[in-house]
Amino acid sequence: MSSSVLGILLICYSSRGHQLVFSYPSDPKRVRGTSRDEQRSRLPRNLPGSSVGQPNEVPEVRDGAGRDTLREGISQRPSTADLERAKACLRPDAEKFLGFDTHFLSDILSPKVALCDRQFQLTVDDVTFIGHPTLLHADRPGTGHRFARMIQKKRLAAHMGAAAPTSTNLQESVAPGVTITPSLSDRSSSDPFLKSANSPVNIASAHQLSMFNLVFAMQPDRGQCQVDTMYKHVISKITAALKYEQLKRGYIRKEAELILSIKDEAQVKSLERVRLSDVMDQVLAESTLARCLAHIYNSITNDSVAHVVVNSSVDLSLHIPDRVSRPLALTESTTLARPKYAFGSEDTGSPILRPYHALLLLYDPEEILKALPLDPSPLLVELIQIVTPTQCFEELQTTLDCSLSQLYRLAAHLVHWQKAKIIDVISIRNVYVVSQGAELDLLPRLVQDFNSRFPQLDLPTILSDLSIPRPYSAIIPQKEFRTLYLEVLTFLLRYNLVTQLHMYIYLMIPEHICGKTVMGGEAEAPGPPAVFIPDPARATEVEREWINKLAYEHPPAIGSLFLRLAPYFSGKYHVEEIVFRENLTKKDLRTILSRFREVVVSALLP
Amino acid sequence: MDSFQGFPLLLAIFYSEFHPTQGPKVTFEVPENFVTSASASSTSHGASTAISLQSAQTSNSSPSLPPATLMSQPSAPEPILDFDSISEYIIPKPELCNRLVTISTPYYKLMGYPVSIKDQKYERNALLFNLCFVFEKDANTISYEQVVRKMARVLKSLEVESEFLSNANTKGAILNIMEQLLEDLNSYSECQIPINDANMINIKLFPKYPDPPPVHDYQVPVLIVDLEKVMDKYWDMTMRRIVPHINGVHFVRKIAEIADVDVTLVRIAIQHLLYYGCVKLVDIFQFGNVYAIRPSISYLLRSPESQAECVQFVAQPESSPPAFALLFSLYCALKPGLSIREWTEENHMWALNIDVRRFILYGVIKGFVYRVHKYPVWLARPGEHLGDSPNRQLKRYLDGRRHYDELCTILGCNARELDEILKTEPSVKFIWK
Repeated sequence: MSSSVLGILLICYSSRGHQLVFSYPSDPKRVRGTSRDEQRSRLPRNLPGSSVGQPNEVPEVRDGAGRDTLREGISQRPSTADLERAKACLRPDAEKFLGFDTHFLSDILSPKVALCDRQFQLTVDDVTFIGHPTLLHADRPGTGHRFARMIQKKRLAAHMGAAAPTSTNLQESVAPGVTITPSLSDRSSSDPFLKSANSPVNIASAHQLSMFNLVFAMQPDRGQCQVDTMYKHVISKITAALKYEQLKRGYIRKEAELILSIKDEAQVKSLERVRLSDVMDQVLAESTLARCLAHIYNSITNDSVAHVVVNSSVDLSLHIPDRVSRPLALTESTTLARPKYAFGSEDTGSPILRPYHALLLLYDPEEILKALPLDPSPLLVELIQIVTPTQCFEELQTTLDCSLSQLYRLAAHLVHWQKAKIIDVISIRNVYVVSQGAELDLLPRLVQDFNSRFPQLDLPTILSDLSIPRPYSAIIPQKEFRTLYLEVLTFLLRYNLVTQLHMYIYLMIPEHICGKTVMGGEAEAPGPPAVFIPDPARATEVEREWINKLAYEHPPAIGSLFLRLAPYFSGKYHVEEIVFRENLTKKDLRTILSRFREVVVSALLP
Repeated sequence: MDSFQGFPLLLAIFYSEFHPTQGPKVTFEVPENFVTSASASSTSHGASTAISLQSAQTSNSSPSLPPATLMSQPSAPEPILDFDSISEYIIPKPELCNRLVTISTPYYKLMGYPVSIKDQKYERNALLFNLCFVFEKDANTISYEQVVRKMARVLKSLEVESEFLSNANTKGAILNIMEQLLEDLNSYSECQIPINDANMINIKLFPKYPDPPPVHDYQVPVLIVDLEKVMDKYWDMTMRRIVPHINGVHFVRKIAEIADVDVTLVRIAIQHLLYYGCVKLVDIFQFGNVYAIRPSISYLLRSPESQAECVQFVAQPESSPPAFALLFSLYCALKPGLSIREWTEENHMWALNIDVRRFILYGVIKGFVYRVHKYPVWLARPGEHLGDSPNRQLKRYLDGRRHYDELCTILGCNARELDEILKTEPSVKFIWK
């Protein structure tokens, strides 16, 4: 989904005016622009609604960016586009991003004060720019003035008596205080933001930064909610971190100057035909900010977690919470309402954890430990080191000597950061089948990985064996291989190649009983059970009487167990849950199921 | 398809232009005084600037840095639309002209299409105007995009043809147009405005659905709507040839063959039907197929209407309908590894008055039954090469991306024939998913 992000831009507004300091990647591609044009040109015009729901539209040649994609999409002469690109390479000052002139972009993406310090959103044709233009003036309340002053005081206190502070640091930290008077007077004029050229140049720092705007260019395919998610989970966080670092250490200004100087240098050299990608390489090599933004872009487009430490100081983990691949197979139930479990808070969106669940790490422990923030809880580290999918939370809490709720919280963290998932404790008695979402097209790569871990086994054969639902033990040839096959299972679950099937149980009652609340004149002959009772726990009196009667036909022990279990036979609880709740063995349950097979139906579901 | 939430409420429309002496200004607006501007009226000059600045300030009264500050919305009492703060997007520089521009302000979302007409006759050698539509901040404005584009185009051509906008006598008519647009689009989602003898504006809002997924040759379209009733002679010829062959049995490639239409055109036509929710795509029904159920099957138990519908759909004509409980247990008996043929035998289906194809079709269309496809996989082992195998061409397809239905359609054979061919290749594994 996040492939809708086209690129990241950083715009700075200083006394030098607005500038597009950094944009990534160097050749952003539109996701839909081209394909849509292509598709449209392919569609026969005379089909009903051939313009797909846009009958008002008359095909028109779009200019600017639109033309670029149109040309690339349709025209048979790719040479034009190549030529243009070549030209752009030759003239770095006319650099383009998504077909927009960079100077133009930095202009429209540095809005007036009234639109600053809040979500900023601008859509031009089909590209949406979203950011949070952040004012850095210290002369307005709420823009960091008090904070900057606090820092200043601390600094002064720290430097008191010590050696003279390094010049740049001092300049940066004092500058906000110094500029109060001139810029305040400027602000009161109706033209905000020193857009007029005669902005007072501060002597202390020639290029004082007054605003920055970190912008994501997107082509959302699922509308506004996608844009808002990106803003909430990524843009606002990284912007806050950048603001902090700028106010505290002048980070953005320093990095911006570095990047711009590299670009300027390249511009001078442009006569010697410096390729644009080389400039990008150099910028990425030298600027930590550029590297950080590029890393975020790459992670977001790959749907993974971006872990960055802004200016080696602010620790950020950014990602779009994945609503699709949530553990516990909550996925299927979203379309048709199905209360997965009658307990636990489902609204929170966090997986429901049970003591019989286990935690499956999606990466090797060392890898996860490396990616952790700088100061992880010791318990978390210990958990990552010792956890195995064969040990359920209940056992784990004794091993780790902590409470279940502590354990749940840690597990939820790892799940949120896509480092682990929640599964039932793996066991050779469980039933696993190839999961519907298994990415078989990745098979060649997976086979390679698999062979390096299990050279004696063949992945396609195992998947082929797991195409039929049966206990996992059925595919293990010999007892000695049990441990090996459990490791294989861990691998399969980790790559989502197989899912566990659970058995759900439904209870049938005769049709003439169903829904009745009072005893009727029992005229009909009691036929075979023909109706399913949606929720045996809430059976009517007549229905319950029928169930009781059924139970009494069996030995008392069996009968009373059946009565105890009947409320679970609604299809809401799987066997593992029932066994856990009633503290039974699976064998007990199997006995009931076979004794009452006339009235119960079971289904195997993921 | 079902995600359409209705059209957004159009709050206001304003006509803005670049005045030769006063610069960007709002000339007309409905409702009145919706847009505030410092430069528009001299009396409200100081006040409105103060407000706009104030609103910018209150937004950030907490000095700390965490996201809380960033996310906080100003709690100003009256949501205002300050023209000055956004004028650069309404009456923009040339690069932004003739493009659809949407800008969000703290309270509103504005959609406009700035038009610039270059001509010596204008005082500044160009006329720059923009008819802007104002919505609530979170409105989904996608259905209005075409309307805004069209209005810009209409006004532009009116101006080019008859100086409609620059002539003081006719210019006032814009206000009437705007009033009618605002009222009719909100009330009826469409409007028709006569402008003069030659011109008329016809506008209708259309819901925008997500793009339909690609249609494959091996998929079977099933009609959800009775198209024969809706279709008339003005429909597209290709469509009229295809529709009679959509019977829930023929797959796309076959429809193309029977109707004698190019398969690409059939795919596109089906895609259109898919876009408008007239068809659903299912797999090719065969007794060798394997199906399984999804957890959503529980929904059936809680919906007596669906149960009745299901019973009616799957029953053989002219026979007593089966009990729902029977159908439900039959659905529960579907599982991976069990072909329909085996399932039919296990459950003595011939004795029951059930149309097996429709039984499966119902589940697939409702989404609680899914096809478990058979993927033949052949991966080259070290030392093994495509070159020395008789089924070289075929093996290329066995990379885990293509299932039996697709392969059979490509090769033009049936599943049994493919089985025979693959039987000769012991290294081919079958994965079902």
